[in-house]
Amino acid sequence: MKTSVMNVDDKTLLKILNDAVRETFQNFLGCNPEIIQTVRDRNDHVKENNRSISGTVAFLQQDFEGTLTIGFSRESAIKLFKSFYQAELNSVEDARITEGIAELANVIHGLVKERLNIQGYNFQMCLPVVVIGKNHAVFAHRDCPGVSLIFQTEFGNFSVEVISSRKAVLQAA
Amino acid sequence: MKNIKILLCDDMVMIRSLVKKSLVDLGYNNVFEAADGKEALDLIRQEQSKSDPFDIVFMDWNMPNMSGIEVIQICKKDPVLSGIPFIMISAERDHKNIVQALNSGVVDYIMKPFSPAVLSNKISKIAHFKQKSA
Repeated sequence: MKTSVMNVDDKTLLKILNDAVRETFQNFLGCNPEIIQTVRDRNDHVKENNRSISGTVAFLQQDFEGTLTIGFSRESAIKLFKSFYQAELNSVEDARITEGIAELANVIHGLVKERLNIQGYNFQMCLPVVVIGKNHAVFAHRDCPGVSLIFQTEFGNFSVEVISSRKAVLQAA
Repeated sequence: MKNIKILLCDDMVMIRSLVKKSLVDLGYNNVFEAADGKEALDLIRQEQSKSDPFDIVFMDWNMPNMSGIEVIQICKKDPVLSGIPFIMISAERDHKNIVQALNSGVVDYIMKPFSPAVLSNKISKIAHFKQKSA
């Protein structure tokens, strides 16, 4: 990767992301996700992607914009939330799943935001949005760096992706 | 004191399920739910009018229709409702926001993600306080 995703070094960012994901899943879902892959070229991620539902929250401050997205395949999302609610779920459009994905994105974002703000950022509170669509991908301007972590759990895999764009990049686009 | 009356307000069904399960596991079965601030305020007023107020209200911050902070501020200004203890549950972790919540009158603040042990500890403290002041 030519450019760091954020002003913190990528090793620190990856640790912050990993810790936030693990803390959220351990506390809320009682499972321990493990990183099985780090994808630094978003084209590779798009090729391998089988996302059916994702939750996205923005990172916003005066001179910086970015997003955090957590993405699941249909099978992983249904398995995960079936286990959580102990109920029969058949569609990722079920509100119990869409709201669950939104909340996971929101809580992971809250933890990451807190730790990045300690590093000197001043990110504000933002609300999550949820996108549903078979094999959808997150695209951004080619000059916007990003990184994806693929996690493995007993319910299947999911991804957490951060894409950043300083305002100067957006204005030049 | 396991029969205390609890209101749980969060727009996300996942959080309501999680907190309710933890409360029931702890032996607290008298749990009401609200999906936004307005619904919570209506329930608080309704139960107060029956002289059967909530002993504790767990309140999310960001919700549609009316935020948790708005509900708390309205209740704290109302002499009839001002004694209800609120515990804020939020993914917001910034110090200034936590201070804002405490200044609004919440008795405690739980940051998401929380463990059942944290929830148990917080509710035990409130239950103990309610028991002593009863």
